[in-house]
Amino acid sequence: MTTTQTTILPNLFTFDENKTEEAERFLEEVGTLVFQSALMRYLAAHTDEESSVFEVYVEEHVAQPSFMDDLCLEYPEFENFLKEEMMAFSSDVHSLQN
Amino acid sequence: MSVELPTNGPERNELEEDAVIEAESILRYAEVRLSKLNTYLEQVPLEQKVPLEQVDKLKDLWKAFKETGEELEKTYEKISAGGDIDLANELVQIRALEKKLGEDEKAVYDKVESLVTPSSENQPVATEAPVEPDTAPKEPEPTNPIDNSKKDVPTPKTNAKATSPDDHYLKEDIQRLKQRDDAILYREADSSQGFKPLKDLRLDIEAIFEADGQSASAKQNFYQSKFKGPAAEIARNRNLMREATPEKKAELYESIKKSYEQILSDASEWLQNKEVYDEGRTDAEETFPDRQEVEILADIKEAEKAFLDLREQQKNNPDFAASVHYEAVLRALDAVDNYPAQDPSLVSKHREKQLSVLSEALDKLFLEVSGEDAFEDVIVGLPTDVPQVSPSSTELAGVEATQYINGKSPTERTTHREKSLEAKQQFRDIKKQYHEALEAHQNELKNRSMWEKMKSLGMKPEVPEAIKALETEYLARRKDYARELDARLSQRGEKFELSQDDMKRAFARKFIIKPQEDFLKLQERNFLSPEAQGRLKRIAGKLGEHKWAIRAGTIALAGVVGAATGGTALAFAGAASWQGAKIATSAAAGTLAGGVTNKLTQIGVDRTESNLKKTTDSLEKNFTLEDINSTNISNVTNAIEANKNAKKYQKVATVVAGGLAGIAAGNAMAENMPSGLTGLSEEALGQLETSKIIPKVTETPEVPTQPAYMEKVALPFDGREGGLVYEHHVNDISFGSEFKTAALTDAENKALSSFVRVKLDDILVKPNTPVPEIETKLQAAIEKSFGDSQWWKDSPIKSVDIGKVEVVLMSGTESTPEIIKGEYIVKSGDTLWEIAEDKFKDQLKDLSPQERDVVLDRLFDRVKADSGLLESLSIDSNKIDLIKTGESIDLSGLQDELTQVLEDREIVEQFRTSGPLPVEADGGVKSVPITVVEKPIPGGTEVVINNERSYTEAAPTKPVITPEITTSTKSFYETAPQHVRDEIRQYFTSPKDFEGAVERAADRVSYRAYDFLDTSFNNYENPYNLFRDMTVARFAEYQAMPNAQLRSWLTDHSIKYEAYLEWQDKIKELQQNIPHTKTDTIGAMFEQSVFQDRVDEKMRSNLYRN
Repeated sequence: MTTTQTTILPNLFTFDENKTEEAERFLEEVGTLVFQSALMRYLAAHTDEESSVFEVYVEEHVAQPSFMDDLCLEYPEFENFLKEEMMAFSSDVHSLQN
Repeated sequence: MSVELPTNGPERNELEEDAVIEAESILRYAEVRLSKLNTYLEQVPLEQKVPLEQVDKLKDLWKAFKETGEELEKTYEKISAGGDIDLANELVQIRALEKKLGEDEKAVYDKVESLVTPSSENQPVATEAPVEPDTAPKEPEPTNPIDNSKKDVPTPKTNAKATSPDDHYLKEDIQRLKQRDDAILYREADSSQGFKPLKDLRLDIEAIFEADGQSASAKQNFYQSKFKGPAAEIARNRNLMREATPEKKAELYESIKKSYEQILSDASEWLQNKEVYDEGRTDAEETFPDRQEVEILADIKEAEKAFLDLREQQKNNPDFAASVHYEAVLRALDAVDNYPAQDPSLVSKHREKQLSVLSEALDKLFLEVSGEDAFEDVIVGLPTDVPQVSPSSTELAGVEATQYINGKSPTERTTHREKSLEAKQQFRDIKKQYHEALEAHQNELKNRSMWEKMKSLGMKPEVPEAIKALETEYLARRKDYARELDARLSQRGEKFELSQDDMKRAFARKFIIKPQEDFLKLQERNFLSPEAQGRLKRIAGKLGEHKWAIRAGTIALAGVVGAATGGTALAFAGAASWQGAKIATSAAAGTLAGGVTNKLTQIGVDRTESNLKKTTDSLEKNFTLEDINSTNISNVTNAIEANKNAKKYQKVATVVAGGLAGIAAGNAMAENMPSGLTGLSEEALGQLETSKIIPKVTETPEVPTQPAYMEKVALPFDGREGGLVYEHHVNDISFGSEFKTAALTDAENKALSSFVRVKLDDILVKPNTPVPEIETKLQAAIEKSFGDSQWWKDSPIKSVDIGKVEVVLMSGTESTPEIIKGEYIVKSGDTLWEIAEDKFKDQLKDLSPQERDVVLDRLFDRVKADSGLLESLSIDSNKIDLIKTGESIDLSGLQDELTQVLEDREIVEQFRTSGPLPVEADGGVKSVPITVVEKPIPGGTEVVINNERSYTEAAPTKPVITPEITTSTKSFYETAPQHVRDEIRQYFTSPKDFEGAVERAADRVSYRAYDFLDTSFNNYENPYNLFRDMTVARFAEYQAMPNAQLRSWLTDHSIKYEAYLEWQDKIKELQQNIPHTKTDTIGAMFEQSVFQDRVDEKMRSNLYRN
C-alpha cells in the first residue's frame, strides 16, 4: 500500500467555504440520504394505512418550525431510525477515513 | 503493466471499439501483404530453376505466412465479436501476430531471392516484382523483393525499415517529404488502400528523419509536439465513423484527411527547419530535452480531445453549450492557437498559462455536466485509462503517454496510476460481489419475518457472516482506492486543481453518497412496495422542499467532523462495527453534537488539542444536557478566537454550525437529535448568520433569482425633502418568477417599462422610502393598470424586486450645521431677509426668485406670529426689522422653521401634481380635488391631509391646507370643483366624452363575464347601471345576501351572475384604491378611477415620448 501523503481524506468534510450554492446542495444530498434511509426503514415496518397517516402528518406539519421535534414526539420510532441513520452515515465516513 | 478491463458500459464500449479498430487495421494490412506476396510468387518460375526441396521449403515458409495470417484473422474476429474475452491479451496477441507475419513475409522474400538469384543476392529482380498496373515504379529498381514491395508502396514501411533500409531510397523519400508528397500518407501510391496506420506512418517518418541525420530526441520531439495531437484526432474520428451516418462519415473522413495532411505538412516543415528544431541539442542530452514544452502541447491536445469527446456526449444537452465553463474552454483553446508572439519562450509560457486556464475550465465543465465519475476521468483517468488500449496509444507505442497530471516524473506518475487503476479495479470487483451478495440475501429475506427484513435495511444493515466478510473487504478496497486516488490528486499541480471544497465533495459523493444511494435503491426495490416507494419519494421531497434535508445534512456532517476530529464515541462506533454503534446509540447520539460542542468550548478545545484520547474518554460524562444548555454562542466564539489553531477550528465550525446553532438556541442536542435539527430553524438561524459559518437557512423556499426586466434603469428619480433634492438610482428591476417577458409584445413591454418608470418617479418623490414599501406600491400599481391585460393571464407580475436603491443628495446638504453654524454677526447694511437669503441659499437653491420670495415671506410671517421663534433669534430689539451692526443673532431656530416651511410647500406641490387626495371627512375618507387652497384657519387645528400624515398648525395666522370637502352622493364630475372639471375636460375634451369613457370602462368590466352568445343573444343589463348610485355600504348589503336570494335578485334585474362577480371585484378594488367617504357612490368612485387612469396613461405616453 502506498504511503503517499493524502490531502483530502483526513479532512473530507471540513470546507473552506460553506456558503455557496454548491455547498448547500451537498448538505442537502447528505440530508436527503439520511432521511431516505430512515424513511425506508419506517415505511417498510408499517402498513400502507399507517404510512399514509405518517405522510399526511408530514404534509400538514412540515412547514412548522418545530416540525422535527413534533414529528419525533409523534413518531418516536422514526426518531430512532433517524438517529441511527445519522450515526450510520458518520460511521461510513469514518470507515473510509481511518 | 496490466490493462484495466473496463467494468462499466461507456468505458468498455469505447475501449473495445478502439481495440477493434486497431485489430481491423492490422488485418487489412495483413491482407494487403498476403495479396502482394501471392502475386509475387505467382510471377516467379520457381519450378524451372530450383530444386524441389528448396521449393518445398519455400512452400513451407509461404504456408507459415498464411497460417500466421489466418491466426491473425481469427484473433481479429474474436476482438471484433467482443463478449467475455481478455481484451488486453487479445490485443497483445494480434500485435505479436502482425510482427510474426512481417517476419514470415521477409522469410518468403528472402527465400525467393536466394532461389532466383543465388549468385547475386543483392541484385534486384525487376521482372519478378509484384507490380500493379497503375503503380509502376518510377524510381530505380529495388535490390531485393522487399524493396520491390517498396516500389509498389512508394514510401518506407515499418517492416521494411526494420530489416535493411535503403539509404538511397530513404533519401529520395526525404525529398518527397520536404515537397509534401502526400503519397507518403497512403498505403498505396494511388490512395486506393486508404491511409497508412498511424503507427506505420510514424515509423516511416522517423525513418526518414533518421536518414536525414536527425537525433533521437528530435524525432521524439516531433512525435510529441506535431504527431501526437493530429493522431489522437484521427483516432477519435475513426471511432466516430463507426456509427456515423454516410454524410457524417464523409465529414469525418475529411477531418481525418486534414489531420493526416497536417502531419505531412508538419513533418515537411520539421525536415526543412531541422536546425531550428534541433538547435542546441546534442545526443548526449536526455531523451526529452524539451520535455516540458512538448508536454504542454500534448496536454493541450489531450484536454482538447477530452473536451471534444465530452461535447459529443453532451450534444443533446442544451445546458452544456450554455455553460460558462464551456465558453471558458473554447476561449482557452482559441487563445492557445492565436498568440502573436514569435519568441518560442514566450509562446511556451503563453501555452502553459492557457493550459492552466483550460484545465481548470475543463475540470469544472466535467464536474458540472457529469458528476464525480467524469471528474475522476478528467483529472485522473483520462491520460491513463484511455490511451492504454486505444489505437492512438498503441499506434504511438513506445512513449509514455503524456500525463494530464504534471509535476512528477513519468515513472512516478505511472506507478501511482497503475496503483490507482489496480485499486479501482479491485474496488469495482468487490463492490459488484458485495452488491450481488446483498441482493441475493435480500431475495431470501422476502419471505421471512418483518423483523428479519428490518434488520437488513438502512445504511448499515445487519448481514450474515459470509456477506460481512465481503462488506469488510468492500470497505477495505474502497479505502484503498480512495487513498490511491487521493495520492494521485495530491500530485497534481496547484494550477490544475479544482477547489479543495469541490474535490472533497466529489470524493464524498463518489465514495460515500453514491454507493449508499445504490444500496438504498437495492433495498427499496426489494423491500418496499411501489406505493411505499412513491410515498418515500413524496415525503423526502417535502422534507427537502422545507429545507429539512439541508438541516439534517448539516447535523450529519457535524457528527462526522465531531467523530473525525474530536474523537467522539462515533469513532468507536465505527471501529467497533455497527453493533457497537448501536449499543452506543444513546451516548453517541449525544456525541454527535456533544463532540462538536466540546470542540467549540474553550475547555473542549484545550482538551482536544492536548489529548484527544482524554477528550474522547470523557465525552460521555462531560457532555450532559446541562453542559450544553450552559453553553452559549459567545462561549463558542471565544473558544474559537482563543484557539491557537484558529483556522482549523474555523473550518470545523463551518461544518458544525448546526451544532452551534442548536446550542445557541438552547436545544439539547446531546440528548435529543431532533431538537438539534429544530434548533437550526429559528433563533439558531440568526446565530448562524451572526457567526458567519454556514449558509443561511431560511424557512421560506428560495426563489431563484429572476433575470432583470429592466437593467440599469438610467432615469434617476428625483425626490425632495426639507428643501433637499435627492436622486434615486434604481439599477435593475425584476418581477416574480411567473412573469415572462416573452409573453408581451414589444409595444406591451414598452408600455410596461414606461409605466414602471413613471410610477417609480411617483413613489420615489419621498426619499428614504423603505425598499419593500416601494416594491409593494409598484407591484400594486402595475397590477392595477395591467391586471386586465391579455398577457397578464400567462405572465402575471406577482412581485417586484428593485434591489438596492441608491440615494444621492443633489442639492442642499443633509445636516443643519453645514448649512449654518447658528450665530451670525450682523454687518452694516444687513437685513434679516438678506441674511436668510444668503445663509439659507442652499436650501432655497431650487426655487425660482418668485418662489423664494413666497417661502421667505411665509417664513417671516411665522416668525412674526410665533414669539418663541422670534425670541430664538436673540435680536436685541426683539423685532425682525430692527437689527444692529455687530449684533449677534442666532439663526438656528429660523433655519429649522425654514425647513418646515419648505416641507409644507413640498406637500402642497405634491397636491398640485398628484391628483385627487384623500381626506378624512364625514366620518369617512373623502376624495378631494387636485388643487388645494390655502387659507387661514383658527390656530391649533389639526389638519389631516391623508390617512397617514397629519400635522398641527400652531399659529393662528399660518397658511394651512384646507381641502374643499363635499359630501354629495352625486357623480365625481358633478361634485368636482371647477379646476378639476377643467382638467377633466382637458383630458376628455368634454363632459360628454368623459361620460362616454366611463361607460366604456364599465362595459369592459362587465364584458369580462360575457361570451359571444351573451353579447349577441342575451339581453343582460350592465351591473354598473344598477350599482353606480349605490354607496359601498349599500352594495355590501347585497353582498351579504344568501346566494340564492342574490341570484334571484340579479335575475330580476337581468344581470348575469358572473358579471356581478366581476363588479364585486372591481368595487373591492375601488375601495382599496380610491379615497372615499361612506356617502360616496360607486359611480363617483368609478368615474374618479377612470379619470385617474387617463392621467396615468397620459403621463406614461409623455414619458415615452421623452
